[in-house]
Amino acid sequence: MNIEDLIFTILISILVGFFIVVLFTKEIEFATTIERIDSEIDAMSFASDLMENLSEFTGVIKKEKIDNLQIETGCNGIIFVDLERNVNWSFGNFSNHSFSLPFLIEESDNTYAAKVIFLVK
Amino acid sequence: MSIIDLLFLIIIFSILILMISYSYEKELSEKVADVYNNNYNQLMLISLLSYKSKILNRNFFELIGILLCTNDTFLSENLNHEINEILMRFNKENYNYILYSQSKSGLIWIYNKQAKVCLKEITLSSIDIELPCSEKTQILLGTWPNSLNVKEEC
Repeated sequence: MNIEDLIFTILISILVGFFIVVLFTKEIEFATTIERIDSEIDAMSFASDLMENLSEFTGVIKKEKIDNLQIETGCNGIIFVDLERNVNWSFGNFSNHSFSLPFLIEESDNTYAAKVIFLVK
Repeated sequence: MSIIDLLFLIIIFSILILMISYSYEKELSEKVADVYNNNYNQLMLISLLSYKSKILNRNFFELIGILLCTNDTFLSENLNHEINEILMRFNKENYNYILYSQSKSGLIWIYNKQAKVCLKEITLSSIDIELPCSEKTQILLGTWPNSLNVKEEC
């Protein structure tokens, strides 16, 4: 092997090394994304079940049900936000990643526009 | 096969794996976003129709029924204003919305950005309703992100 071949082989090896590092980094990112998507799907399914149970398919949740809510699993945390009266009720721990769903709070024969924020594990 | 050929093969293989991972990740994220958007839209429409209005102390579902049967101008103005306020509260950040329903005598048409949209390009929810005047119609609610340039006609 002459000197030119040696330099060429070294350059190609550096390039391959670079691609392998990029590949590993991207694969780790990919695994993290898949894990996040899995958590999101779990949380969405939990959110859907919870909202159906609380509102019985009407989109309206009685205020007492929120007061007496016991959250056991499915999400890191849940925040019910009354958008009209600017009050909220929080349950569980908090994280940065979240998604929300709209609903109505029913109290004393009135309804108030609200959102429930699910904080994903 | 020389060492150079082998190294080139490794590079091509790496690029292929990266491309496959990226497209799979993108497809999966889009599917999850679709499920979420559909779910959100449906809940937004159901909750909106159940909202108890200050007008006649009835919910929006009943009031839309009355409006579509009577085409009352006073009711139309007040109802449009109230529904728009609740839609703005429910709406996701950086999203647009359009609510539409029509009968032989009345119309309800509320939007925040675009009066006409190609329905195939947006997230759409609908509810079939029977009006007090024994007519059947649909209430449609469409939403789409600000970043999406939606055509007026398909």
